[in-house]
Amino acid sequence: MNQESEKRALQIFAALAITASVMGFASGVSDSGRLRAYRTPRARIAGEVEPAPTYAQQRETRRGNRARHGTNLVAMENDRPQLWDPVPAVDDSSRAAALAQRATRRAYNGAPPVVPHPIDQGAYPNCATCHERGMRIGDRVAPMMSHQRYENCYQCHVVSAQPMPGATLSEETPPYRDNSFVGLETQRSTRWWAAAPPTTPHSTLMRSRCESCHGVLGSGIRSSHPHRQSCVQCHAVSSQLDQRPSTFGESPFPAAIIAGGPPVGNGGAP
Amino acid sequence: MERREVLKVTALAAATAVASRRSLAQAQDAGAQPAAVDPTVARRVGQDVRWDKAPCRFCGTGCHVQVGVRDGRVVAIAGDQLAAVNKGLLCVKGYHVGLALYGSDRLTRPMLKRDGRHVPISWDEAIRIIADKIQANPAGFAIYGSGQWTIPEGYAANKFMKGGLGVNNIEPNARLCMASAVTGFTSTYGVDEPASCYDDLDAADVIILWGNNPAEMHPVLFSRFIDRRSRGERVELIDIGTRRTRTTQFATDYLEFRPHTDLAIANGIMNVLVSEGAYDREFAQQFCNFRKDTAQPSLNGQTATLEEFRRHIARYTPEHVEELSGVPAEKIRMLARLFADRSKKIVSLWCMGMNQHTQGTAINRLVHAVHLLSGHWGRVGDGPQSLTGQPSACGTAREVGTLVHLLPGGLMVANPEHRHEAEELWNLPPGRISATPGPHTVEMWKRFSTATGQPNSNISTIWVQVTNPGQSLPNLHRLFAPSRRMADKFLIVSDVYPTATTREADLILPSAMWVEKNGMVGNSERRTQQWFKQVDPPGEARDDAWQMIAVSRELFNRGMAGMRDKDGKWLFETKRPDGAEVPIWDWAHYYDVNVDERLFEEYRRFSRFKHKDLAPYQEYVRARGLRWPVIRKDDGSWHETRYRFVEGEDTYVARGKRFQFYHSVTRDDKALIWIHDYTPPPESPDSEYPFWLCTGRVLEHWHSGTMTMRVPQLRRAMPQAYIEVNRQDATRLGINNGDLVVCESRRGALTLPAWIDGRGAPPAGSVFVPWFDERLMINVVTLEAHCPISKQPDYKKCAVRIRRAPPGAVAGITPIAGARS
Repeated sequence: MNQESEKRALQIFAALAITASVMGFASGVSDSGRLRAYRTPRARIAGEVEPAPTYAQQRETRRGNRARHGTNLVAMENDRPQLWDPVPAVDDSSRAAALAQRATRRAYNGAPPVVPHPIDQGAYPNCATCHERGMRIGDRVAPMMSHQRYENCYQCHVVSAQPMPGATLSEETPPYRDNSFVGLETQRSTRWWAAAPPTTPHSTLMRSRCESCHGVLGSGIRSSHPHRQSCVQCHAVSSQLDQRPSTFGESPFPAAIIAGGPPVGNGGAP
Repeated sequence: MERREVLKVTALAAATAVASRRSLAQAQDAGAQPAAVDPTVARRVGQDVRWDKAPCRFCGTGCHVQVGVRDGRVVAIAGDQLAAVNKGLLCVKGYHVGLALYGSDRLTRPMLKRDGRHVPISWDEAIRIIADKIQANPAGFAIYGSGQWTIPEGYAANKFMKGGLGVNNIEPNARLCMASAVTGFTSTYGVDEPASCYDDLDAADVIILWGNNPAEMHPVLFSRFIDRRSRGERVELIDIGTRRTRTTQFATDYLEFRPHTDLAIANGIMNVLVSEGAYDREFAQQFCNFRKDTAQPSLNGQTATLEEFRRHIARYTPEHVEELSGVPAEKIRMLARLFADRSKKIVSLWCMGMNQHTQGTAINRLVHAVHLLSGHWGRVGDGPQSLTGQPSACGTAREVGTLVHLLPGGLMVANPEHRHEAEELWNLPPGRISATPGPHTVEMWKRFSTATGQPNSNISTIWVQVTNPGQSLPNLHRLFAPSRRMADKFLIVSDVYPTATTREADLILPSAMWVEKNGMVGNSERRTQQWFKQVDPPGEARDDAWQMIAVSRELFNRGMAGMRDKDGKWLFETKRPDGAEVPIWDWAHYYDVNVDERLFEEYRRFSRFKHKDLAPYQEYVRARGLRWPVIRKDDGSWHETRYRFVEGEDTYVARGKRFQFYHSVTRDDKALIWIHDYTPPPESPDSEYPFWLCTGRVLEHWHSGTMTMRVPQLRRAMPQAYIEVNRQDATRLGINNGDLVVCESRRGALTLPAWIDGRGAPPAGSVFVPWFDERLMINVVTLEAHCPISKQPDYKKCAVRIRRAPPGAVAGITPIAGARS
């Protein structure tokens, strides 16, 4: 009898303890209301990508494209077309749309793109989670970074709007933001004859990883044969495009040539 | 590849025709007349874009960019792969630097304030007005420039003032920026500027940041060492700071200290080194002397002994330092043991945290002392390195000497021999240069804002170039605003955009900027850089150097004696190789010659006095900058110097000396280890004003935001100023993210939105406000108290109180009752 009630008490105690610890764990790992109130409001930027949700939000709303973001990164990793998948046909309009989309995020052809989603302004940049290899998130694509890995991503890539709460001063107050700069446009590549591989029409500085735009996740300007890995074997940098820095320090050219001045720029040795 | 080369050689041949027309007037040919270029040649370089080098317009890092120009306009920017500083990488400001030229409200005509309105006038009239003001009262005339002056611009202004008017009233905003670094270097090594260079960042094992946030302020240098981690190297980063920043996120260790107690931390490190016998006896004995301040703080102080040093340092036990600074004693020991380990290479980096400090000179001296005492000095990757915030704070402010007490090349106005040397080089009659230093920045603006007739009011006209004191001076209500209500205080401002200063100016002059003119600058590692004009300035905007030269010519024509040298020739007389004079005072002929080259070649002769030898102009045309001293070898080639005072690196160090501080204060080739106590700051939080206020910059905006706020990408990414509040304080005061907060000091008040857990996180009891926003100028709140030696004000600490703004409040400068004005 005594033993029975002791056992029962133990069971009740154990049940309570387990419940308490589970609840404690659950409330501990979720963002408290207080905490959430203090985070940057993650409003959606008009016309831009949805902000990344917090883990708490992910648990609350398991729907839409983003639901899979938190629940199964691996599944998303795998949700990419295979190298041998049939490639959708690319026409001029889809190419133009892709290039126009690129241009909205860059001041000029070659500028680092702005970030179309909110970031945690004070945190170590975790961009590589999605952008190291690139990822498809529902109908959106987080492009693979086009260059080698750098640690401080925010050094070059800044958000396109609303970095902070409470920024209410109008853009119409001075200093005015209007700017008449016209950036260099994206150029079409050249084919020297109908079946020739197109040349690369842009600088490859910071754009050395072709799959970033031309790989399986690309659209409009993607390659028809992503399974071929050595791009530069066939696609030479356009002769129309001089990637050599125009003013030489240690000149790789004979003095007689450099003395006439390099073909581009005007800072060469006179 | 071969086909490409063939095409290039063809292009070269064709381009020779274009290039051969470039002689002295290279820049004009290239920038001003792009249409003159044979289109078939331009076509070959792709997209009709001509690329050329230029150092970035913004900070003191000194990155080189490639500027793409088409049809006379900048259309693209790329990192310069040949540049040793940035190796092809830039930051977001650098990538968008080209857009800074094209804000829609560029100033394009000179304007005079009449009846409270700015009305356009001609350049001739503007030049005449300035000349009238100078003639009326030369001693009351002052020039206030900046570390954004190019070297030739600063040199022209300096010669005009000190060699022409014989008045030393010329200051750069660099006084607000790196004056304490200057006094730190000068009093430690006997001569200004870092002995080491950025090569250290590629080799250091440990980087110690003293109140520094390079992830935002010097991003390219930050990447230069932090990216070594991506390559598998181990780089320890120790952030000694008063607030968590983006840099902190990368740090191995974050040591949070109470503002101003960095002096105690440096002393604490030396205490452990001495008490554990772990300092470098050999280095300290062989290459260092000890030094202490005089009763009145002075630049060179007085002799001290090792015994005095030991007695002094004994007080700073780690436990005592913990009490003062809040940094745990164990962390002080950890730092000391790093310095005790000679196998580790340690670089200390600092910028405004140590310089904008009422004990700025002292903390600079102490950080040098830590390195000297521990022998972490003079190896690649091992030494102290101060960073600068402006592209030519070193090149123009420090080397050209555009400060009230200096002459070019490190000469001092107070030294009769130095004045004599300068008068010789400028071919001036003896006695032309005044022996009295002018008023330093804070003093100059105080005098300008003091009504004529009262004591210390003798500055009546200030000509501001390339800076924005109406936003950047501390305590604006006191230093800037009063003069604007005085009818006889005349403010002339040369700038490229409307600013907080031009709005209040009596005369506005539109200037050319960056690649709209030729230029040369000098970065934080003694690297002198050059670029050519690549596009035309808009409207009637003209070079700052031309403005100075035109005024000088006007005064010359009016017969002012000071504008002539002792042979009666004009100070800026410029001749063609064939001997004919070029009328460079006439804008139409300004680019007939390369005025930059002419001024630089004249200035260069000053560089030998302090062994800061500069190479001929044409050497810089070829290079991506050269670090002085640049030495001519026997074969005629010019070689830069990476490390000063180090045998094998610096030509001026005698064989066998290992290290030789050949400008030593004590004249025995030794550097100085200074003794300094921790002293409390002039204003600390109290019951009435219980918070520390720190001000600073953000990644996207450079200084007062004049240029970067007009770049859409940067403006969107950081649209306005804010106040960072600690979460605990915010909870206590009922402040939520985005709420308007009033930040108020004894001097002024500002209302702006709170950002909690934002980009930075100040500890409880402190707040942070960036100063880039001209609509939310935090400098109405800051304090003008300054270092007694460097005269640099402390923008990093003053006492404020904060409260939630009442409903209906709007962001902006808030009038307060009882504020001094």
